[in-house]
Amino acid sequence: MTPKQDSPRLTSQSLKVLKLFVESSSHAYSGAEIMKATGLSSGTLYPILFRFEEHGLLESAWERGKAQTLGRPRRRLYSVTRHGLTVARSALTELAVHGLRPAFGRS
Amino acid sequence: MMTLISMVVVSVILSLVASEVEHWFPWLAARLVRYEAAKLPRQSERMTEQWLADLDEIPGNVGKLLYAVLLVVRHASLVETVPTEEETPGPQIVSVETPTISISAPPAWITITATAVLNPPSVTLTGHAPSVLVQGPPLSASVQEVPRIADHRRHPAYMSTLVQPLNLPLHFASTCSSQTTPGRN
Repeated sequence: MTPKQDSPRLTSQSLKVLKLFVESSSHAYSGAEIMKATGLSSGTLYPILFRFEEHGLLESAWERGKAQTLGRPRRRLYSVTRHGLTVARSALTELAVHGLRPAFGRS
Repeated sequence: MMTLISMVVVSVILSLVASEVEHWFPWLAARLVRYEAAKLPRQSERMTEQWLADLDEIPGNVGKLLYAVLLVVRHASLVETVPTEEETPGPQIVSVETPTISISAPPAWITITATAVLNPPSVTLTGHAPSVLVQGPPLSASVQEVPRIADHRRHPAYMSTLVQPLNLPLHFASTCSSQTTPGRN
């Protein structure tokens, strides 16, 4: 999948997701873990994750092992990309300085 | 007195019904997740597995149902944003061990056998020649090419066997086309 070049729209909800990844950039999270950490619902979180993935801010991969071996469905784990980390830090800095919603990104 | 007994009986029945219904929530949630994933224009298989894994992590039956319901409610947003299909890279032959070449009956057939290390593992490769097949157990595969000399005089792999047999593995690797077997990697 080729990431889109422009930055996605960053809302307060999507910033919550980015903040989680900035705080622990080397960690990979499942959707359920992100929901728990951010308090976002499934219907809100997944469009954000999809959008971030499409724009190359996050990437995802299946956890190791097969479902039969694990005894449950495999988790899809999301981790932040280098580009994502740059965008996230920039957005969060802007938010901290101006206390406003970041102005960049498409509508 | 009768009224009191009736109230107790009704409350017991209601709590039993509620408990029974709640036990159906995980099943219903899984059905809803599969339904929603199936309605996506792409990535249905991935999202089914991913969301079922999420359901597995979410504690409580009500929480599971809520998770599924909210996915269905946000269907339009999911459809709009669901990522495009991943481009699955064709499997690469990482290395090929020394091949053995033998000519067997009928004499018009030459057999080249080698062990290849594949990345990603568990793939099926098909080569240019109709008889080339790599069936992949994880991490290694038996590579067999059985070109019929009469039909494959111009086949690059065959030509390389005539000119430089020792360089065959590299040449063989470069002439393989590949396809993944869904669900095996």
